Amino acid sequence: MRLFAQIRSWLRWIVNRQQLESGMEAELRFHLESYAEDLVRSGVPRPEAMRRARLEFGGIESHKDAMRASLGLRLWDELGADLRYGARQLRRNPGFTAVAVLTLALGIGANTAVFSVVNTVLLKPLPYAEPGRLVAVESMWTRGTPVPNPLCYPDFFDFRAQNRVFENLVTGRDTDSALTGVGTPVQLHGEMATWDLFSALGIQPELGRGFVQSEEAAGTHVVVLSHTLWQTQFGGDRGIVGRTITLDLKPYTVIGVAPPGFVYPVDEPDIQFWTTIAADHEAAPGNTPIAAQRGNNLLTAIGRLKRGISIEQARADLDVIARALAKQYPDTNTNSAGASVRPELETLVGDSRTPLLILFGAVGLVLLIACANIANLLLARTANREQETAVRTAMGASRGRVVRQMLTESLLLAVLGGAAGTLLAEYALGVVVPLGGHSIPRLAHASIDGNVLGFSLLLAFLTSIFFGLAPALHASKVDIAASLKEGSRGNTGKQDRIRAALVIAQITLGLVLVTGAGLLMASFLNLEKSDLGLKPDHLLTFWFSLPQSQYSTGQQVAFYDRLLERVRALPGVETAAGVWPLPLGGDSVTISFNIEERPSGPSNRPSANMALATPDYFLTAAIPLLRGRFFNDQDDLKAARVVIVNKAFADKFFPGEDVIGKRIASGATAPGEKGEILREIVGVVGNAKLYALDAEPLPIYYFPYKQLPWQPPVMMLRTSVPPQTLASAVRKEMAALDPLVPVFQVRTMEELLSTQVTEPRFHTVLLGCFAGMALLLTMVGLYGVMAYSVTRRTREIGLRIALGASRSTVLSMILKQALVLLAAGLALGLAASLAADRLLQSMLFGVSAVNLAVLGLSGLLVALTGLLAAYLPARRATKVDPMEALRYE
Amino acid sequence: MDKQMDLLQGTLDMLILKAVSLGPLHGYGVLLRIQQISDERLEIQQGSLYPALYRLEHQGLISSEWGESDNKRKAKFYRLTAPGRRQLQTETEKWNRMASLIASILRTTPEEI
Repeated sequence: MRLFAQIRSWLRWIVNRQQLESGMEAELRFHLESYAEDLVRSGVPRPEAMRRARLEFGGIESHKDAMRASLGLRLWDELGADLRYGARQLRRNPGFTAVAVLTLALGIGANTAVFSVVNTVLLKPLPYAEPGRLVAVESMWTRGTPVPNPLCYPDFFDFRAQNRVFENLVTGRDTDSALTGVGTPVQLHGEMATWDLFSALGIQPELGRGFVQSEEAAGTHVVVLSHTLWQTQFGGDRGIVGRTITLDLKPYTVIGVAPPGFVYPVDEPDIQFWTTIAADHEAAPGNTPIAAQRGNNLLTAIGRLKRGISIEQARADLDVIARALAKQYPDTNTNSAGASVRPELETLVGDSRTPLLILFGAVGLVLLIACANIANLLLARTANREQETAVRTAMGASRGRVVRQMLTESLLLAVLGGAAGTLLAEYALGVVVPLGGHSIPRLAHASIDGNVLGFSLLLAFLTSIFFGLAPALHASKVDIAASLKEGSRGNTGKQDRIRAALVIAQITLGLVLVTGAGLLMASFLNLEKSDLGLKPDHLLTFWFSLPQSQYSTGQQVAFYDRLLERVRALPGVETAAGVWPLPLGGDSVTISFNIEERPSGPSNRPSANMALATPDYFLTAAIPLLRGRFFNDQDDLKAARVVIVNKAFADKFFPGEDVIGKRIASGATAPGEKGEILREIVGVVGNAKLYALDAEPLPIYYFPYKQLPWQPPVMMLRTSVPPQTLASAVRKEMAALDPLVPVFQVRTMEELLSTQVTEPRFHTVLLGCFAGMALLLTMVGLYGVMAYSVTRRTREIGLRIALGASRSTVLSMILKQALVLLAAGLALGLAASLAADRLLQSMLFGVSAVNLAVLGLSGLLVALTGLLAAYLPARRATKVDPMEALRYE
Repeated sequence: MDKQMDLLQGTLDMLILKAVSLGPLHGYGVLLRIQQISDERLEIQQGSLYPALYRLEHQGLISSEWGESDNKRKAKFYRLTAPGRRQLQTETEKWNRMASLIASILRTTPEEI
């Protein structure tokens, strides 16, 4: 209560300072005059009365001072005076000020930029209502070490119906559809979701409504457009709701438009429409719809916890359901007898978290190094200002007062540095964010907001104390008598030790950053030259899909053949083929199989990645044939079923055996095929990686597209010309076959590869930059300390030279001093690196965190740059003229 | 000097609160009021009065307002606030307890021990 009154009064007088001053003046004058009048009334002559009143009252100015102090304004006034004094000091030393502000701007700027990334990616809540109650729900794979695993529709429906912990449980998967009837057909990126998507997330459509429960049923065709799609394709027409659009040649009723900025899923900001899972309830006659396939695990769900329900309670509740399902459906569910419930945000950013936090820590070290530099600069300056401090102390300034004044100067520097740093961060973000591409969820939204500004302000305050406190305390301990004697150098021994410790700390931290960056670079080089198993140059890939309503499976296969024929005939195309999933395309499909010689029950079968391919695929991708034969055009549904496996598959499932002629029965079957169909292995091909970041190539088994015509595979062309130049010719060929089928995701293999290594490249470039900054700042620090030391020892060096010391003796004397610092810093730095680099292990590709080569090279780099930094002042020492030096001071 | 007593540390605040509790006063008036009710036995350092007034106002125990004095001049009048009244009451009780305690200690005779 009283504190509140004090704050109010304080603020009032800070704002109305003029009023306070004139008020005090008037009040005291009134007092004096009233007293004087009383004296006159008691018989004292008027001039005498006024004089006596003044005398008895005492010094008006000192009373006013005490009154201001009563209002708590003294600290404020002193702060103002200190700021003015500090600003004058900084203006008087523009060189020092520029170096210090620039150093801080680098440090604070880099930290602010990284924090804004951390803030956007890791800290900002999800853009939905009450995001804290949203959790990611998956099945738990319980064979071996439990890992979260996607759900199948039937399991999801059971979870949704039987749980007692969620208000909503929503799932969905992406679906791409061609939008026709709008001029050029376009391929749209969409998401099919359960009916309560919008209500569960607490999102109101901008126009129209969200889905209702009955719209999940087969045969329902409703769609909610994204704000962007509505604007670009439909001109923002407010009458769009109720209209029909054509997706994959089927009519869909537009029931709503999502609000601008709405994203779901969060890591797919380019979704253009939402529909219900109705399509997954439909299937060609004789087939089981996806929504009824138990064991077809392809979903992740998002749940809204009921109020007061914890994640543990939710997990326990779903575990019970999952265990019951495992008993009820042993063939499909034995290995998923549990559930995974994790905070949605954590699940979303999970993989990006550790690297970002490591980068955040690294950039913090850069700031520490910057602080050490400024502390050193300030120490050198306090040495020069010892006389000034001594005078202040002699005039009665307390030690606290001197410290406060010095800290105010530091604060002023830090605020200037912070402001410059924030501008720098704004610029840096513009460079850094594109570098990360889409590899890190939400990165694209990174910006300087209120949180980030608060952070950089806090950082400026903390750093000012960090780099300012040691010099300030040091300065306050000045020996007045010694310092006031002209030319005296005060307590320099102690100062030298502080400076040396600071430089050693800088070298230590610098080396830690350099080895960290070195490891990431080694890892990235490894990644770049790692064998993909195929030749990514001169390859163009593109997608298209044929609507089932227009093209039966047989027609699709025929269409594919005709298209292959046409693109093969294009000038510049060497070979053309199809494959799905596309290597490095980001997709993979794992399906279990039974080995004829060693059959096992459904829940114990081995599984591996599978793919569909046309006969020329291996030739086109340049994957070598190791044994047997490639597919040919006769491998269709009329012929004996065959598969080709890669070397990893043969080694893993048939170790030491000849796999040619062995037969397996896969869970993948063509439409209309019933029961277990044995397929003979007719060939072994080289390993090709599905993901560039996979350490080892995974086992894959390939089906001829004609024997497993699920969907037209991704087309791949090997070209003799730059691949991207063929994109328009490909579109023309497609339009000639069917103008309503859009070609999409036309990308070169090299683009795909680059996308896959975006995130490691992002980390490597950033950590490399931080290490570079650290090295630069450390060099500047060492240079500063050595240069200062040489300047101070000019007289001594001059004397040595006068007494006959050779230039090389002087040079080695100074370098030895630097070497001691370097050696200490390197020793500590190597030890610290060994400990710290372990943190990087999860970010490394084919490189061990304890890497002597990287450690050695980093140490050498720091040592050499350090020596270079020390060499310049050392050479200046050898140029000392003894005659001048002895006159020095 | 006999008839005047030095002020005990910290009691000035209490006296000011008491003085303005009897009615709004300007600074000089506070001084006169205290001297008057103490029968001129208390002399207050004129200079220390104003910092004390400002401190009490800063703490919200008194409030001030510009008005007109008896001699038709502009003067700043102080009055007690509600928190000030409570503060005066607790201070008075504390003072009385302390005074009677000290007094009883000083009254103690050898026989009573």
